Amino acid sequence: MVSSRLVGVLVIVVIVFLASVVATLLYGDTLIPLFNGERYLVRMYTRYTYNLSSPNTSLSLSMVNAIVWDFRGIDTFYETLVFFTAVIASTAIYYEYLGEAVYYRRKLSPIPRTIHKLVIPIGLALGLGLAIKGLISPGGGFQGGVLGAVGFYILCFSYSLNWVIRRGLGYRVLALTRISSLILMILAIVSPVVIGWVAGLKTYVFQVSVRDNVYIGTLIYYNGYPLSMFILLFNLLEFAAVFSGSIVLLYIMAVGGYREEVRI
Amino acid sequence: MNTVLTYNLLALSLIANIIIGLYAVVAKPNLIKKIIGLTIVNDTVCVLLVLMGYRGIRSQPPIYIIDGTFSPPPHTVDPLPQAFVLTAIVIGFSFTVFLSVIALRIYELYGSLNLHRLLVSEVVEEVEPDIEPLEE
Repeated sequence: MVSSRLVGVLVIVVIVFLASVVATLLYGDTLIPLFNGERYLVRMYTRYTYNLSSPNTSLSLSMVNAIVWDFRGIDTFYETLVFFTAVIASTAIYYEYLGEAVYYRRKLSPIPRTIHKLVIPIGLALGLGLAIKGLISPGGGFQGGVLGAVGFYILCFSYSLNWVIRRGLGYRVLALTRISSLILMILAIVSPVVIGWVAGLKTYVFQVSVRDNVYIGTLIYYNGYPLSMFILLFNLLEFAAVFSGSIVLLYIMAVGGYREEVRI
Repeated sequence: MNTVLTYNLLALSLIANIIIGLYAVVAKPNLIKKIIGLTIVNDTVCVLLVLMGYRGIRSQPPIYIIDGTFSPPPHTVDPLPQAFVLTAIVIGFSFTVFLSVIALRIYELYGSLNLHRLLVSEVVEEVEPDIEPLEE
């Protein structure tokens, strides 16, 4: 007996396939024009990303990184703030229950726990690696933080939330980590600007590389080239903030809906 | 021709995905299904934006090759939509998280996620006080 839902899905698939065949035969070309590489903005960014003959270059191997940091750095900071706001708003709804809740205690059997012992450090290390390498390659603090949190989620399901919280990762510790990371992020952004303003010198904040005649900022050398340490710092702080924020969300989800059952 | 057909099939599948997501948002009374529909629309639009920078079957990622010359790949895709989509993904994730917590709270308070049931119960509460004086 074929269910009506399966029939509906099959009908949609067939309609989409037939529509694409008809469109291809009638139109003869791609419906969305393929990118031909002649866009002015793209040419500009391509030349800007890694051009040793120009003083104005990002020195980043990834074009997306060059755009994200050198042109859209403030946006990147604001998107972290949006995530913060979502976590804070979610916490505000369940704030009164987070401190006193007693969470689920049952652990998984020793076999999955042993496997997870091997998998969880890999997840955390990959997340941290993404955050550190986000300076010059695809990745960054947000992606790294979420990946690390996934490793931590496995730990929570394997060893129980109660086990994790008893080992010091309670709601208050995570909230403190989240807020201190945000404050340090803002300090890292503001302090070079203020120092430069007081000293009357040019500064750089959201830049992958170091510009000429700019003196205020921290340096890190990669393959012999000077890069801004600010983004490395920012990524690590964002990793801490997103990691702790995501775990708080897990606690909220665990409290919500089952509050009566988990509270003793 | 096969490449064009594949590309058109992908584009039309994404458009169908958007329609399905919008249908879930508009027609499904369950709040969780509405959130899932919103997520489908959000992610599909992200993929559609990235597809606009695609260069056909020869496309390569927008990363410089470490081969001593540091030259850009010959058929690199458009990096701009990818940079824009990064922000959209994070905003979408934050949005979904907040909506999920709101839905959880609604379920706790009203015992249902069905929007029709929630609206009907609210209407009954509003109507009752008006009816009582007439009965007296």
